[in-house]
Amino acid sequence: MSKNFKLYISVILAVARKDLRMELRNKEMIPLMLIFALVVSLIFGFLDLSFGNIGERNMDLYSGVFWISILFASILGFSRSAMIEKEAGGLVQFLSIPVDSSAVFFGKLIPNVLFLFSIQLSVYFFIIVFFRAPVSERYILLILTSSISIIGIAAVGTFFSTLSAKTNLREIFLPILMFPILIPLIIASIKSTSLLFNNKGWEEVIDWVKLIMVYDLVSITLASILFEKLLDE
Amino acid sequence: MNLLFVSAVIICLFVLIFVIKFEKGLSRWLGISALISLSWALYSIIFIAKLDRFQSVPQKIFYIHVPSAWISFVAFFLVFIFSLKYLYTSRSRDDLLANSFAEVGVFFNTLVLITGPIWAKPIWGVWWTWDARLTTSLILWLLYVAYLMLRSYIDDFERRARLSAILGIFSFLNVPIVHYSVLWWRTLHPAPVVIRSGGMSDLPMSMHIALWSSCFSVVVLFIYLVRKRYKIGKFINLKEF
Repeated sequence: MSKNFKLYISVILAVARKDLRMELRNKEMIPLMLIFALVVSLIFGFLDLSFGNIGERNMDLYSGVFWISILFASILGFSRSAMIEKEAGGLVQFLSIPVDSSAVFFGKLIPNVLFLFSIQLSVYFFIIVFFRAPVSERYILLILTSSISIIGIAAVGTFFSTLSAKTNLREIFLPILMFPILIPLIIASIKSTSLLFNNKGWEEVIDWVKLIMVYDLVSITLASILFEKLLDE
Repeated sequence: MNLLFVSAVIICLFVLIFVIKFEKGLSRWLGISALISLSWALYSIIFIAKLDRFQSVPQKIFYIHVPSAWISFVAFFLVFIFSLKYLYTSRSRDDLLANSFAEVGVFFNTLVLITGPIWAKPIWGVWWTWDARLTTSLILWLLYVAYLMLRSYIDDFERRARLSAILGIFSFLNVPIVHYSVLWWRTLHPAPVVIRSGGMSDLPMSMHIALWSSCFSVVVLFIYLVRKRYKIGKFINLKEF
């Protein structure tokens, strides 16, 4: 373990610990994101009412509801995370440490991912209880797959929330930047989640999961390389 | 038909007079040659290119749809190159060029997204479908529109140039995905007819004439528009400081 590598890891952990400690003390973001996700899935769930039990025949609807709620809740989380940095002076204190700035990116990524992990189970329960979505036999696979997608959403979201925080419109611009780039990931996530709701096997889901993993790798690599240019101030 | 022809000629004459009177130097030649080549391209599309056996007249949109798509990919590639260049050199010229290429690229991409559905409706029966090529093309359009929006929402010059350079690099990732989407997935949109091995000989000569004249005129128009946009941008920069 070279000294540089230890410094790199410690910067990541320091940035992550800062945000997690803030959240544990204030307890404001996770409840907010959770309630927002549930309210959004409630409203979208009313599609079931108007079409008359379409959900029982069409699992795509429930996966779509799930992913829309996660996306909208994530916008809240990412905007808040970027605004904290902007108000506190823009991560200058971390820039003075002689490590690659991607350490700061990963440090911001970890709390964002953890917040989303913590709400996904509740949203699943909500959809299962209130909209009679089937309890999938492959629930472990389901949670694993949605976790992998959430990592990709968080990578793109962390990067673009930091970018949009520097514009005039602040966090309002984040969805316009984020959603077009996330569309391939969302399509793959909805497809894989709906296949797993239908209790389909690993062989059918694996194609979509491969796409999700490639997307995650590419977005994390690109975002960590370009993050340094975002902070040049 | 006659009325259309006469009004087209009158509009062309007006544009010609405008170009000759108000442009100087290279822009004048570019403008005139854009006008002449566009007129020749239109003539060759309507009168020279033979009718396709299955699609007849709607197929002729191909001669506008395809070169516009090609030139928009080239434009976005140039945005990528000059964004990288700006991050390396921090010269305002590179940032301005990237912006000009992005604007004209979005213009031609919009043309693609308009002519595409017009062609699709008589042939496929629907204006739009969510196959891989159309979805990724729409994403491409949205990404570069977001690029232009980002530029308008930042006032500080250095920050605007740097952040839009980053977005220009990120968005280019989608261009190869759009191009190869017809080969990687089963799509309703046809696979490449011209850009493939043996593709050039598949097309009859008359169609080649129309296609490449249209391509040439689109390229000349592209260069003319980019130069114009660049000059306007330089002027705006001067005024701002």
